[in-house]
Amino acid sequence: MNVQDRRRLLGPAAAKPMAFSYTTGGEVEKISTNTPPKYSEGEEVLSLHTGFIENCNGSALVEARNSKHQTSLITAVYGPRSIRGSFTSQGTITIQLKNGLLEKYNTNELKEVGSFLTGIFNSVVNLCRYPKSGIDIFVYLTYDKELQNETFDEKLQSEKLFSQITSLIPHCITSITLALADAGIEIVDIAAAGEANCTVISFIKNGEEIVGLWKDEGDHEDILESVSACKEHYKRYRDLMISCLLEQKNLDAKSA
Amino acid sequence: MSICLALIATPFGIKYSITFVAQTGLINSYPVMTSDFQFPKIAYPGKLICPQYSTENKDGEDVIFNYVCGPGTKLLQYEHNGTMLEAITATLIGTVKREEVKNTDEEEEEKLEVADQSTEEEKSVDASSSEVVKRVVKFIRVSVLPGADDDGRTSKDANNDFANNLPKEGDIVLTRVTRLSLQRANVEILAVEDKPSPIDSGVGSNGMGIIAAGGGSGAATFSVSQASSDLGETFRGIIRSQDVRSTDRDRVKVIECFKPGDIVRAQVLSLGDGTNYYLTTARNDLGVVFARAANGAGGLMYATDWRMMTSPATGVTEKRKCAKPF
Amino acid sequence: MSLSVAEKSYLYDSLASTPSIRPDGRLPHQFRPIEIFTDFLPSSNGSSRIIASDGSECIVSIKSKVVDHSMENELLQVDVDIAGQRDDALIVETITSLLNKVLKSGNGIDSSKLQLTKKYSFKIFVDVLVISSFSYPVSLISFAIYSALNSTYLPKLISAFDDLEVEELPTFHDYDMVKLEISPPLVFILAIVGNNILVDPAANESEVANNGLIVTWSNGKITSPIRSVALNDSNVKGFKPHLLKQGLAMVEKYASDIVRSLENL
Repeated sequence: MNVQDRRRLLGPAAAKPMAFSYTTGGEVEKISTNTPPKYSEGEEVLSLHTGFIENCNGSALVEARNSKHQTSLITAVYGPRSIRGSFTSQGTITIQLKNGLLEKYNTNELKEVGSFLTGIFNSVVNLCRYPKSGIDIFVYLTYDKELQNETFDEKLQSEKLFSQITSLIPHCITSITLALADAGIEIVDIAAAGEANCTVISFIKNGEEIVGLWKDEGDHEDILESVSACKEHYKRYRDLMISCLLEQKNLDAKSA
Repeated sequence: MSICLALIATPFGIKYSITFVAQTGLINSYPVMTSDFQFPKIAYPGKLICPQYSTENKDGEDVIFNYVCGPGTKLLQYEHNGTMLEAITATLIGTVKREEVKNTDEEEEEKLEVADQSTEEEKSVDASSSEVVKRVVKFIRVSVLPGADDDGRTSKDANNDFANNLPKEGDIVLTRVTRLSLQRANVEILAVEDKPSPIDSGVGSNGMGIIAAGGGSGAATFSVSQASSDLGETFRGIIRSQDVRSTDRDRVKVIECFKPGDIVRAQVLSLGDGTNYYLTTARNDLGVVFARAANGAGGLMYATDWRMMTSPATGVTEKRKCAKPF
Repeated sequence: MSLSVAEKSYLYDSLASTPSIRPDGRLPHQFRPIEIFTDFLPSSNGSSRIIASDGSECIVSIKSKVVDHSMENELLQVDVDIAGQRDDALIVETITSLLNKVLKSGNGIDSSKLQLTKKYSFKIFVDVLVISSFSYPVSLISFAIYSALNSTYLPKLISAFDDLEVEELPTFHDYDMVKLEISPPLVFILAIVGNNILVDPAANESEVANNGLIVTWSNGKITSPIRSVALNDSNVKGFKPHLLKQGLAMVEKYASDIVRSLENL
């Protein structure tokens, strides 16, 4: 039985797409009143928001926009929950990434990033507090667009795709860290990452330790330069995340 | 001999002075008073709170503070100028709380004894040199609690936020009986006593969170890392027949102690195996707290003695291993 | 392999000491012995089978197809199958994605070597079957791919190279084959234990490693992708930035020896 139901694939010949009136504006504004003031430094604008999904333990929304592209991703943290199977003396983390409206990335590439992120957060989450349980993290890539990408040269396009997932990883790390902190799951430090020369490096402990390294393009000569550039990014993101968390948990940042 | 090691601890520029004290009988061995670090009020993950030890010289008394990690903190190693140092670091976002722990732990007792001995030793030495200096060791638990302030509001604010309440050894848990056999009673763990449950805990079976239409990922109460499980399952536990009561353990009939659906207060013996916690009710205040008559068909019953419950409406009595209600 | 807490602690301490002591007595830069057989599958263009000393085993088969290269972006495609794992398992998809990036044209693969005519090229399909693996198998797989591609023979073209003017499908010689001359990249796995770096970690070493590095080596230099990889999920920690430099230096120093020994098969 290899028969597909194609009846709804084609509309009538004269069909027009539905046009909605300008109603979305109000909603957008409503969200932006909840969001903290956008943190901007340099040319990148970052908007961070936590705890807006009700049925998960912790959630975070990260929106980033610079002159080249615009990204928005939502992270939800569930658990710790019971797992079945053999005894584990410490928690297990699973991270799943999902394409949003734009089906942009291959599933196996997303899974590769997911397992890379799992490796990072295995070293960041204080797993020994969570025996026999699993922590599930879902990252939903809502929106991700190149802003000045008018060229439709196919080769250029495919090269862009490779570099884009690299530029996405720092934001994934930011949003997962925020969501974990929001969920009250113990993490040993605020993990964040910076990107430079298509290299993503994630740090903890004020840049003294690397927890993750991802490089898709280029040679290794620039990797050592990238370390310091990424460290700058990391410190900036970390400070933003701390002030965002303190603000949104109604803790006075000045007394910290 | 005392070794004083002052350091400027790394990440956020908090200045510490850590003093390590090696206790010997030498007279000129009193540690320099160094407690010039400030406890932060608010902590966030990665924030250094305090070193493991600090000392204070008060009224001619040397007080050594030994800081112990409580919930929301972890002892981590930092490298500073080539030496490894340990500092208590926050792992949660919230307010820092300090409380003195009395010698509840045997280990700590031993330590205290050692400290006492040395104090005595020193007293004797001091007596000869006609100078009395006491040395006291205080254990202080440092923890980070989610919430804005450490007054009464904390517990209210902490509700639903605290995911770090997994059952551990010695905890009292509230459970529901799901299955009985001759050897054991299977239960599901509903909550750890005196601790809030996470938002998404037990959405399927206990109904507290909001559930998406058609389930959604929020409906699963098991972790997706182990997908071969039924929906809506919580942590499970086993009460073996030997662990039901502390006397006459060999003649326990499980069916005369629990019935399916009973709410049982139990204590965690061990983390058990992959699926089950091992629990016990072998204490007066542990056992059935709520039960309905006639296998759940009748009304709520009340304990009349430790192994009998009565329904006030019908007067029917049933056998249970009851928890002492008061 | 599952080690007890005491075994792990002993192993970790011996690997993290200076100099590190590996359980099988290897030096930090020393590989385990491997056995490679090539060209044994009659129905594929090239094949290899690699067996590591711990019994990890992997088979690679190379097949080819003539494609219009203006339509196809990638002329090499890797497909990984690991025995006992589902096709959509995390490890399978991760390794597939990584190897496809390793063999991406422009990185180390010269796609002009696969070109047949002005219009057509060979597309190479690399099918990997990991029969058994005890540690992270990427390094082993890349050695197998390397030796399989080095033993690949493709049909010899007898039609004209310039087919843009005259529309013509490529035709091949009946039995003459041409050796494929590409030098595929190699992938090295480094384990970080304490402040030490070890190459080619065995299963027990992977289990206590604090972190891992994936380093790609192509045409005499280190190229991307470079990754950190968690070799276990219980003992992972951050590492000092200088270890990264140290690891890359170690690969730079010894990789050419590995390439030479693989070429001399």
